[in-house]
Amino acid sequence: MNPQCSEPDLQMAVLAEARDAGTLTPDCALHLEGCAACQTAAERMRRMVSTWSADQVDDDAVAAAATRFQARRVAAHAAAGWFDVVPFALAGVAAGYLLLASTGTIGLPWKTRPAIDAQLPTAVRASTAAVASSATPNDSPRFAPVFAATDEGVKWVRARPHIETTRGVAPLVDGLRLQLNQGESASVALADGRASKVEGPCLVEFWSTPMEVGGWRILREESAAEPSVPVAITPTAPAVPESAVPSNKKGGPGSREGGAAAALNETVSSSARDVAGPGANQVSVRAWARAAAALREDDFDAADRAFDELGHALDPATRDAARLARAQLWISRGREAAVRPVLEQLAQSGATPLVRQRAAEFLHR
Amino acid sequence: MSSRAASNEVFPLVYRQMRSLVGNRSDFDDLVQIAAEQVLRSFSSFEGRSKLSTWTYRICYLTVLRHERWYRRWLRRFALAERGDVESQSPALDEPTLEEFERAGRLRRAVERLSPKRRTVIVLHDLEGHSVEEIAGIVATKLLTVRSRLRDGRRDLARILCADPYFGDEACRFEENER
Repeated sequence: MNPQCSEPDLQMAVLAEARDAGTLTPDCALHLEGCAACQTAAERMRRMVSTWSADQVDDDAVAAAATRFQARRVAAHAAAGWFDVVPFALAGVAAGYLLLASTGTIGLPWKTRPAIDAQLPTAVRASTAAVASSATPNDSPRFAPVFAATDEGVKWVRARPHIETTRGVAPLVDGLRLQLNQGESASVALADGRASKVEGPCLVEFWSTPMEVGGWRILREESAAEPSVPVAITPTAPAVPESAVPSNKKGGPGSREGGAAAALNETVSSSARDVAGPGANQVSVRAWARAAAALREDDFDAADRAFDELGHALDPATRDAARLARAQLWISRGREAAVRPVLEQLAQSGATPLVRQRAAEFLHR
Repeated sequence: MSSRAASNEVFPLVYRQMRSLVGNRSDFDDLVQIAAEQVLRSFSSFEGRSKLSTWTYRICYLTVLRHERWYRRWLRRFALAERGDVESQSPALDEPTLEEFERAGRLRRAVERLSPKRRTVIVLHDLEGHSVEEIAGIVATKLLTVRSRLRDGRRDLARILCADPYFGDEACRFEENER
């Protein structure tokens, strides 16, 4: 390596003049002649400055870089805009709306009642509104069907959810109350294309629920003034097999869940046999059959719905039997704690001795 | 002055100054972008008490310092280099002759091996021709500090280049003897 210069200040001056390629002062020239380190440093400085100067960018490269800079700048400013959040916010609002609609908290705009009412013919809408306005404000409106009077009205009503009786065709609207006398029947056509037939004598109310989008639930209420036994009965009640309840997957043969399943099988079978006799309520018969079929297919939700429907029956025996069966169904799924209050109530005030006995047995298990 | 006009005026300045400070590294464009953005953002606060080039040089210098501090921390954290040394990077091939390109590349790599503070003083003083007073304004330090960094930087650079076939001790001495 080159030896160090003994006079650093003088070397600074020598290098400054070598860099500028100027004329050396006498002192610097004299020092440079005798100092090998300064000679090497001055020559290196000259070469470095020369190489550095030749290695400069041209204007084209600068212009291209300026274009890149502007493009990146615009992109960066655009990317930082608050409105970029808008699509995500809209997607969030839409997802929330769909979630609320799917859970029934809010209704879909094309499924809500006002939209259906708005489509009614003027005459039908006016009479429907008149009947609805006569309902007591503290109760949901209940009104009799308004049958279409003209062929055009019949055609229009048949294109939508409707009921059809011997008296005529009426739109199926929320709060409709239809009383069928003995020998009368009504065909109920729903929005999804399903159709049911109801036979009198009975009193049927229709209402929509937020949980059933586009569907209708039918509540059958036997009029207290009329005989509760329907005239038209299904000739043969649905047979309930001995083993309507599938083997429980959770519990073993001796487990609490397994015992509940077996008891449920027995309850459903006996209840179905009870209602299948002459004078049975046709709605109850069908509901028990649905429950049995659902249990055969291990469809908890369908069975639960059937028991729920039966639990609203006016007949106390049917209602309590259904509540007991539903409690057993829930126990078979490991939900003892949830049904304990129901079992206690049934054990104390069940409609039949059998219901009270079985509820007590389950409580003491 | 509009933003566009200011951009047209200061960007070439920033670009050339940044190239002097860091050369054609892979992150050169990013550094230019950051520095130019900073210059344009602060342009309204430029009071004219120094030359515009001095002011922009200071911004470029601070940008490089910040970036290299961050990069060293990053290297140390992920143990890609024991001491957090910044690897020198090859410049782009945009020179007319291969020999000149190689010389310029070797010089730039040697300069990049200096510490950022010494490198800035060496580049500004020896290679770009700024005075010690101007450099003191750019790096915001005393004259004596600049002189000290200049002397130390030259010594470090001579040590780095001592074996170089063009800038090395033997080559320069031989050239001098030939004269």
